[in-house]
Amino acid sequence: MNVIAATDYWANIPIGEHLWLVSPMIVLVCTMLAVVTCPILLGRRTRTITAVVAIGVTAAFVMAIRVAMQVADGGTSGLSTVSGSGMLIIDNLSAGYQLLMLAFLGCVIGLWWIGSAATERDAPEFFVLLLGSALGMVLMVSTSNLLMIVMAIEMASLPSYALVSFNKRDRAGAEGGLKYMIFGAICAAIMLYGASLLYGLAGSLNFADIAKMVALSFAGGGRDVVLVSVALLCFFAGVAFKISAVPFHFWCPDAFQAAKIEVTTWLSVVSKAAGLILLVRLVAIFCGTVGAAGLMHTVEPIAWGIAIVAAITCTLGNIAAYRQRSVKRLLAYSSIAHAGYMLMATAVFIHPDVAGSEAGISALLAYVFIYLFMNLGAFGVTAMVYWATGTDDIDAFTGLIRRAPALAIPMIICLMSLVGLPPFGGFLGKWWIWIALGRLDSTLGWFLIMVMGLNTVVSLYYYLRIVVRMTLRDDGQAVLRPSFGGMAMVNVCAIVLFPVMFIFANGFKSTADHFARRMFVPTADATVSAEPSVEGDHSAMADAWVDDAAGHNDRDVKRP
Amino acid sequence: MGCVALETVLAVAACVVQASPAPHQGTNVELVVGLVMFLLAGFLLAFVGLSVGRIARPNMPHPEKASTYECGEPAIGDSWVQFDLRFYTVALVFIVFDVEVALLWPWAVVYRDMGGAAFWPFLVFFLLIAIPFLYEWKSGYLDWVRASTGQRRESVLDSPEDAEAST
Repeated sequence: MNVIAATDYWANIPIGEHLWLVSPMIVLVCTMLAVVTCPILLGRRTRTITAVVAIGVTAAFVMAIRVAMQVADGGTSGLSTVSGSGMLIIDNLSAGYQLLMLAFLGCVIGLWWIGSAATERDAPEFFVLLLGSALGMVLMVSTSNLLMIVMAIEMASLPSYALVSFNKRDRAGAEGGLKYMIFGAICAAIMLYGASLLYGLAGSLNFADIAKMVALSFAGGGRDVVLVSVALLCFFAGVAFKISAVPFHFWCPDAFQAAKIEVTTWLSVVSKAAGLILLVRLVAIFCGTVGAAGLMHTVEPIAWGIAIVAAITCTLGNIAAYRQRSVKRLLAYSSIAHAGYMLMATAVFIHPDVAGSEAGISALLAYVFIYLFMNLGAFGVTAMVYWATGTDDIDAFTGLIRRAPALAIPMIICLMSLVGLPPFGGFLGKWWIWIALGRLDSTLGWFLIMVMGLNTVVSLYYYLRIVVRMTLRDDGQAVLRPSFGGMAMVNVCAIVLFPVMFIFANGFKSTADHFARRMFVPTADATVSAEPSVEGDHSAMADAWVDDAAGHNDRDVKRP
Repeated sequence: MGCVALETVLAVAACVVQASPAPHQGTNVELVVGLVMFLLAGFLLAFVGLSVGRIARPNMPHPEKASTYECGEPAIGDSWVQFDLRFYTVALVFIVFDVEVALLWPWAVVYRDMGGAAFWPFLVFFLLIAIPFLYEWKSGYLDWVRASTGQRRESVLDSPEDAEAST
């Protein structure tokens, strides 16, 4: 008998170019190994281990630049919406995210070095968890395979739970971490159930095939619509958990408040962006497949579902942020609200007009990019204030403009940007989403524009409350002396948000447009395939496998 | 009970998977019928087994019979005590190697036919598990009675500044 079908794969393993494409991930894994090897050979000194991690992350960053250049020229880039069964997709989107994520990983490690390294006794564990979740996030943005999505989300989540409750003497941390973990476990179970149903219904793990099946079923010519909807809903529970959209947001405030502030920054900025990019990819594949089949009008209920979740998410986030005194918690609710805004852009995708979809994707990518900077800046300043005063209560910010102008001014820029006021970066993000919604010229679009406008007005109050505290009040608290590195980081964020983003708005938007268009152009794929090409019969490989393992093939091996 | 719930879920999944090649209208009915039959059979299995035993066996109650069986010794205290955390460490290490063995098995089966192509990837995989294991060993997490490495660690954890570093 022929041995398992996987033999083909191992014989044709793409050693050269394709391994280069995943080299940043390989470097991340090697760094993790180095971090645990270091205490064996050199001892547990925090300084040594941080140096090892810094070298590893820098190497990964260099590799990521190489990959980004490799996929940018068009030869190996682009995401075909009808591509085969690739396990990993390395295209503009994933390479771009990877580059940004590694830069932010550097920032988070820098924050940790400023604030926590001196008292940290478990640096190896911290870094292994941090790098592990980073690897999971990279995998999350570079796949459209059901199995890989589930695995990547788990890989990004499990270390995050441990990171939230990293200090084992801290009761609040334990509580936040436990809530996060239980919630995450339940969401993962629901997602797995949805994924198994989707696989059962479509007979494929590839999301393009699943999209085809869903569109057919909504058109009335395929599977039972109710079953398909339930499966989709269950599956997207996992994604919604990662971006903390409304029914799955309960973990967010507690976990964000309880975690160390650099961990909060990591979770609110990079982890959420990973979830959104995964969503972008899935929805883009969905639109591409469904649009190509000319069935776009049948899936309008899905667009309305996303729109309603988005509207509830941002409204609830903004209202809950209203009365918060802890700035960390306030920013946690604000990040829920922003997840809502970004979901709104997702609702635009599912539209008969592909140009509309492109506008939505481009607006969302631009927003995610801006969001990364404004949240990093706001959390960075909060971290500096927290380390200097020992509290993140809003009172600690009173008179900050006198006590530390180099922190107060970036904070004002970041907060105004989070509101979305005109001269700042956040305004551009919102404006582009607004335009994309307006171009829909449908009930859905106008509904979302209205919700977003109202929410902006509501959110103005609680962001302005901090600004007023910082500038107009002063109760004579001591002057802060934050570290130079931290100040530099938040100021760079602020500079990106205010003059830079505004000056280069056009170029930036056209880059985002380019990325968005790429997602719909089926060029040559850079998909790294790990599934053997068994056409049609998916059970063949499993059967061969079981046969072979059992040692005799006369047995009738049935799949469950 | 949990077992039954799990089996139900598996049965539903199995029904869906089996039904998938034929997209006709009867699929859902088959699914429901299969589920109901499964539940019924599960219930009957337990019910028949227990009732046959109840009818057939002699009835001689004795207080000793109702007590907890603990290797023939009289039970002391409650079983709801706080377990030593070290048990969990051992359990975790066990699971890691258990999974590794589960993955080694199919690898070993095809190894002869595939040679080097199978050898190197698995070496990488093995290193990914072996190095953290060495780390754990070196850090003293495996010492049942904490020896010098463990003692030092313990004293570090008990220092007051660690408690202060809480968020």
